[in-house]
Amino acid sequence: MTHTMKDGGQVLQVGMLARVEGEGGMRIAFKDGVVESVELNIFEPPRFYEAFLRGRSYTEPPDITARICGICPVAYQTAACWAIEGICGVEVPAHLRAARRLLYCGEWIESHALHMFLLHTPDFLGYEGAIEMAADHPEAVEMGLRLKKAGNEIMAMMGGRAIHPVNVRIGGFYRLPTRTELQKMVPTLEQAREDALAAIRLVSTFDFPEMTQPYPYLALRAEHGYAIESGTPVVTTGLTFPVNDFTEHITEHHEAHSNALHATLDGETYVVGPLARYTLNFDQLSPTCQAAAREAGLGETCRNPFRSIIVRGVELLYAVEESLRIIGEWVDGQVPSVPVLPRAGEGAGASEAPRGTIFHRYVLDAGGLIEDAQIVPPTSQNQSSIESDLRVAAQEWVDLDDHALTHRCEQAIRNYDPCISCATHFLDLRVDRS
Amino acid sequence: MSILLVGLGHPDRGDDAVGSTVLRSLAAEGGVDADGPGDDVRILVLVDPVDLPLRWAGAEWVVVIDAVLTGAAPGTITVAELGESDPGEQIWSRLGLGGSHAFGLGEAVALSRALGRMPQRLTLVGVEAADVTAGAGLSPAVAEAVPRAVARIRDLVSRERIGAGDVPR
Repeated sequence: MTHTMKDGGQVLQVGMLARVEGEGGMRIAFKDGVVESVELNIFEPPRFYEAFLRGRSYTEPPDITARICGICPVAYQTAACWAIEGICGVEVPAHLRAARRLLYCGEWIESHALHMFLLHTPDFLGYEGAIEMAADHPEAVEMGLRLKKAGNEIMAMMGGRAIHPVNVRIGGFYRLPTRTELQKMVPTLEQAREDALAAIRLVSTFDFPEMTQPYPYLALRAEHGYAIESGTPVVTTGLTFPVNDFTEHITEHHEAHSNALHATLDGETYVVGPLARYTLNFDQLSPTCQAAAREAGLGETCRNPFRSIIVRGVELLYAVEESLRIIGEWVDGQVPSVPVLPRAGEGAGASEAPRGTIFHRYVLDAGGLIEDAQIVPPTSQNQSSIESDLRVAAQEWVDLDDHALTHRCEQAIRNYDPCISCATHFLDLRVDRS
Repeated sequence: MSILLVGLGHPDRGDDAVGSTVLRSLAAEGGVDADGPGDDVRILVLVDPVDLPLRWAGAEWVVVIDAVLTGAAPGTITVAELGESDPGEQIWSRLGLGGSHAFGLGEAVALSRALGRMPQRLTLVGVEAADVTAGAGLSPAVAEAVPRAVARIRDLVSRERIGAGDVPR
């Protein structure tokens, strides 16, 4: 960190953010004690995924886009499948939707466990990181590792391996596990359910700075159950729209200080992620999860980003319960996929990545080649609200010493569990011919 | 003695696949038990190093096979024992960073130490990588090193079994 007098102002700068996925920093400038400018600098280089997809076959996005992220590949695979199946006029049967949900639960469990215990809890308990924390709080770290391992096991079982699953295809899966194979995970998941309940109780005891986000929240809402793998976008303003219309409301623009696009909702800053999902879908949670949330001091909505760690705990519990439910209802002998024939058209898909809603849009030609692709990941959508939170945090706690203020601001970023690698895939090449 | 052989790395990331390739090759040859029965030897192919503290707990001796970048010629095999003042320690800190959030083997060791979950003995069989491009197969130099790495692991295990003393550094 540097904190230097400059032009009568002060600059609080963190060159490289720790405990986030990818490479980013932040810069906050003060003048006369007032925050003048705030920047979340995402300098991880652009990755050009949308350009790679052009000219490829409609069958390839689940494998190509899975490589965008090692933490949330299933979010990409699933949104791509919905979009392309929609264009091709295919609706996968209920047992394949359930299989997708089970795979996705694995991703939620491993991602939330990693963020809660290895990345976020050290903020609240006052450690540099999980390794330093482990000596004093081994039980918390062990609980996180067990939960993460449970999520990885589901990923490996349903997706073929724990990172970058290879078993997903347009129309379903290459192979479905048997009931016997799935049943082997039940003891692990029953332990995970206990761990998740203990995790919620533990994180609810942390001290949470007061902050209330005023921005609209956007999340998917499913017909049945809490939205994970699919749903329809809903906003706390009352707005709702079909996934296919997302580009009419969500627009992306480039800011000079970031290699990730900034997204706005009808021109405004908005938030996707656990707080949005929880606030818009509390009624869809199971009674156990609702009770655990209430016991942890949450109401039916939550707008304090520092409390997102409790909401992640509730979602983690829900994902474990859902996994057990889906495994309990599993029937052997069903087709692993349905045929999907190419068709010309344009369509979109969306799913709830652990860190928020992700949208994909594709244009296919009649032979199934991709003519255009657009991917709007959660961290791009949250970039503007992260900066707004930073502005509020920096102003609110301006009297803290440098170290404490920097830490508070970093924490405000980590509240979002940002995935910077995910956000930097855009292609914005401009040629100045003047 | 309970021995755990861990092939660490991503199977679709060029030479990072060397850990899993070596163990599959060893298993195809009948495993280390082909050299004689006895110990409890488990084989584990692992992509995510975060799982290591839980996975290797309880094993008396863990041998990790992974791609390394030390500046040596591609395909060079480095065997290092993890010790308090071992020069090998420097290698550990730069290993397995293909894991998410830069959590690699070095972090797994540090976390396991803090949790009291370190195996009694930890040995690295590192194969110098040439290329870790996603989607690429093993580079020729590393593919050539696979049988040598398999032989080296067999040798390490048999030396341990006959009590031949320390592993060559």
